[in-house]
Amino acid sequence: MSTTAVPPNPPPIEVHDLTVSYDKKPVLWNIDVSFPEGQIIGIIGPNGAGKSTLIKSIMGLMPAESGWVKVYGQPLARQRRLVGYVPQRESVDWDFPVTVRDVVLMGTYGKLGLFRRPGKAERELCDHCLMQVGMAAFADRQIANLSGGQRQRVFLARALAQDSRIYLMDEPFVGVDAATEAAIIELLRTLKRQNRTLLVVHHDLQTAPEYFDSMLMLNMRLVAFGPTQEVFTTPLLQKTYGGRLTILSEAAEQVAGTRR
Amino acid sequence: MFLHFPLVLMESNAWTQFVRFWSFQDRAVQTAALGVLLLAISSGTLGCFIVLRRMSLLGDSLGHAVLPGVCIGYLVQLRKDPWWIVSGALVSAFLASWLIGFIRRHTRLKSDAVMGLVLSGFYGVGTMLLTWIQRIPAGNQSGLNGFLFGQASAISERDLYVMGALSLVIVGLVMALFKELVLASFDEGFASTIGVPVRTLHYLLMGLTAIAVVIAIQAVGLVLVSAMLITPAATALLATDRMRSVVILSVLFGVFSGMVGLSVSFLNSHYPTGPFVVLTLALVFAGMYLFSPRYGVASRAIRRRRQSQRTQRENVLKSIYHSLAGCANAVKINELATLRQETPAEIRSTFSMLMRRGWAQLEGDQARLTDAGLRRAQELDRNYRLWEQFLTDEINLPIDHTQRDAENIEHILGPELVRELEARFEQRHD
Repeated sequence: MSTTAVPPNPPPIEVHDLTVSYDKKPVLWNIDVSFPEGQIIGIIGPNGAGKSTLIKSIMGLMPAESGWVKVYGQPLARQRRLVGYVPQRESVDWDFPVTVRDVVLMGTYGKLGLFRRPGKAERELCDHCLMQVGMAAFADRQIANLSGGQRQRVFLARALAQDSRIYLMDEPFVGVDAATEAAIIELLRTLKRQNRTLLVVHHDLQTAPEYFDSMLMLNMRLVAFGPTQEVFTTPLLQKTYGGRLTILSEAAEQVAGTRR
Repeated sequence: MFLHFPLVLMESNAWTQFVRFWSFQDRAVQTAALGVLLLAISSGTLGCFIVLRRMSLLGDSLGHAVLPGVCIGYLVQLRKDPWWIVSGALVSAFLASWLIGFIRRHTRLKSDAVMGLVLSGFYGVGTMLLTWIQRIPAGNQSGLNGFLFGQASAISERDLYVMGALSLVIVGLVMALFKELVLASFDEGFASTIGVPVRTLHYLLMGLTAIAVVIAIQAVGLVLVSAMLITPAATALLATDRMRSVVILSVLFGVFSGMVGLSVSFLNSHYPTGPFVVLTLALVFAGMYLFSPRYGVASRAIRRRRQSQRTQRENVLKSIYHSLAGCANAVKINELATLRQETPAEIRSTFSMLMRRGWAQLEGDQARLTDAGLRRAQELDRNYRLWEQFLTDEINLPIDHTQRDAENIEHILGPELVRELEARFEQRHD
């Protein structure tokens, strides 16, 4: 340890003054936050608060109108292999003609790069990931025949196959059975013990304080971010979920109006 | 109208023509067949991605949108030069897809309306140009009229080289980018987060689709060209759950229908090729809809029937088994009928099923189980008891509720589930 001023290690994810619009209407205003390493972080807020939008714009899936995102001090484009992503389950067509193993193998494509096909090593990794989520027996099944919880586990196995330092998960607990919910949180804790950073969009306030080390409370703007015991308080929850946001939504409508 | 043809003459003529076609000895047949082969391979491959990405309507739009480009490509040289026609078609297809995007962004119309709009607009311009070409002296022999409904016999050897080169581009690119294309089609968001250039892939697919349309247009015609993209892939999706097999089957269905359609249109040089190819494709689809091993309507009905026959058969087996357990080792058919509340004739017909399986023997009117039959009956009895126990112990159903469920499930329980049930109860009894 040096005593002189050493530049601090860059945080896993730093969001600076991020404003994002959806269909010309601003849905996130000036988000400024820096996530600490090795924590399970919950993103909570009411419907339409921009929780998924925040995750998607961190992942570069939605263009930012202003502001930037850095991953360990660098733009995401250079750090893609450090970030794993678990999209919402409904975002894909589960009738697609692929097997469970095919989907999990997709997690290895980032490292494989163009033109290279997954080989024996990737297959073994994928079987191991399926085992971790308790889906080893389903490897050759077609994905259409899976239950909601099983589908979520497949998505998690794919994320595990990415072997990333940071994971962004969009509503992984929605519509899954109790056993899957328990399995997921157990998996998240295992990943945390390996000092990985987990950002999880969540909507269930009952389980939130139990699951997350820190929380980001969001309602179009950042309401609060900090350790769970500090921010999961009645006044802040009221501020997040209360109806005091008419001015912001009204402004968003007007911004959209001038652009259409 | 068609009844005026001398039928007998037609038939003998048709047969020799048919043989002439399938022997592939004619140069003309070879050229046409090769052309159809190339178009089936390229459209069949691309079609899978178009259908899975829900771009079917776009494929149709592009099919119609190439017409003005094809006509302008013709007008440049005043002859059917394949390279000019392909270039014209591509420009026209890109213009159409750009226009679709442009109108989408600047109005509140949804994409189906915009595609319909652009499709018909381009097609209108194209038909106008086509009519005009046919009026000019050189246009009469242009061979462009085959472009509407397809005339495979109008494919020249020079066309074949162009078609071959373009098919190679399509198949080569799809094979090289197969993994990325599948990923981007299944989960575009995830693909983009790991750095797959999803937008580029999307435009590449549109470009390749335009090329596939151009390849197909001479043989099947631009009105029906979307069928070559959509139907083989849709049929393949009914047949299999694996992406690779979907692509292979799609190509095979396309090739098969192409050849059959071509052979029919070959019987009479006035028959356009497109309708017969598309008709064959539709028939293949109907066949798959009914008889696809897993999802076919008829196949499912057959499976259900087999299951109900099995239940009936095994219930009779159980009745015999239970009446045997009481007394002697043979039972009268009439007693069995009383027991099962069925007529002796019904019992006899089910009993013959047991005999065919080698589960029972009939001596006079005495029914007897064989060793195999006895084993299966014991197994069923055990499954029944296991399930009953599971329902009462773990689901906590009152005993009078369990019987009916157990009666049905015992025929269905697979060996794995039975072992698991056994393990559960053995554990408890230890």
